Amino acid sequence: MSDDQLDRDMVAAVRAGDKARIVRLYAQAAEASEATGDVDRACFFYTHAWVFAMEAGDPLAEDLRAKLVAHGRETDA
Amino acid sequence: MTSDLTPVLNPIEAANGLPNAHYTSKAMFEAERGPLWFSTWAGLCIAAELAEPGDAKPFDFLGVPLFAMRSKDGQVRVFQNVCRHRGMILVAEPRRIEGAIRCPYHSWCYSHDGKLVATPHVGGPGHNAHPGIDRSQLGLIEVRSHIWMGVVFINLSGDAPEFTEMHADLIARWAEFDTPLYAHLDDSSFTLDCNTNWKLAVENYAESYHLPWIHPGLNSYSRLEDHYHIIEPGFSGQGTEVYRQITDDSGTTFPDFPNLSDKWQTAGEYITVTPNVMLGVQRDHSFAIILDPKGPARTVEHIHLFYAAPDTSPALRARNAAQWEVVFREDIGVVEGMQIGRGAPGFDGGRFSPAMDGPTHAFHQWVASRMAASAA
Repeated sequence: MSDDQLDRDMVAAVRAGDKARIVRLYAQAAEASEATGDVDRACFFYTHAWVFAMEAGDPLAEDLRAKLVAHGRETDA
Repeated sequence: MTSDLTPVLNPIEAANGLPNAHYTSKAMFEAERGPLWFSTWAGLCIAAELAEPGDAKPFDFLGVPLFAMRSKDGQVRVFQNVCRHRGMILVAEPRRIEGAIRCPYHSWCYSHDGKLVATPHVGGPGHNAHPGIDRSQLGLIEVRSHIWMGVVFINLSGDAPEFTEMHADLIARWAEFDTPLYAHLDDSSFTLDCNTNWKLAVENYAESYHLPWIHPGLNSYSRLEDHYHIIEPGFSGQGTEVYRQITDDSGTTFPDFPNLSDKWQTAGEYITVTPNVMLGVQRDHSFAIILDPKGPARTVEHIHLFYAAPDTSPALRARNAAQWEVVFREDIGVVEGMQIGRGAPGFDGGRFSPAMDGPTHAFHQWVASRMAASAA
């Protein structure tokens, strides 16, 4: 996905208040960044996906946190 | 700010009421916050306002931002409404928080029991931890709370005696009403915005002396002589021996609270849990009036009626709420009038009828003794 497409989709999801979609778009962006080896960018997106998932009570939150822990970007506690 | 409270502490026949400044001065209003509100148990809201897990509501408690929430485990908790990062308020309007409580500023997240669970980017973009930030020390600041008679009471100072200890006598007096209470926010709750100091609402509620003049509708069945005073260490108010149930057009009444003793067939009692929760109990419904001071000369009264069963008649509830609203609105003129009168520089706080103003005098003495103790 291009950054422009991500931006457009994200704006649409925020305007619609679609929290589940916001989480998944960030997760998708994170995975795409991970696939290119850009860990910093991936963890930035994983952080956002994780935070919004936590807020929504989305069951994806634990998996997203685990990704960050695995990259050393979140505590293991 | 202090005032001469010696005359207030005299016996009733020689006492004066609190000086004018306690009703008109912004400085005194603020000086009262500690001794009269923060250091004891004050009413914040009713638990029914937080009906479902995740429901959160902000409050301005005499200038202190708070929020109350029903957490996922069903418990009602009250927190200072402030993120431990940069001081942003967390809950700006009533909403349901399904998962974590996220600060809208930098997204620090808290669990429903107040633990800080996420500090996004605190160590740099994509780095969510930092050795200098110990999350275990930065949870939400919880405020002690206790629910009684459907009301969420709070102790901001954190060091008041336990609620059940401080109010043991009143809890025992009304033990028969320690039963599920059913609120209906849509038809049995309303607010009255009054241009008066909160204490005048308490003083008016305390006495039956004004009933014949201000509530003429009661004269036919609830005469002055049918009322009695309640003056106990820790609480004061009044009671009636001739409570009359409201009925619908077919004569149906509300169901009674279960297992009441005979006294309550015709009794009603009306007591203030100082500082600000005015309660009433009768055989078939109770109510709570939570006073919400907005300044020395303005108070919002949050009035909630409770019933003994979840499925009472909506039409009868509406009729009862309307009837009580008439009564409470009848008081507005006199509490606002007393507020205006407090602007008279020659007024010495007034005098008390030794026969009729005992509960009111008791409240003035409660205020005076707590203010004097805090000044000592």
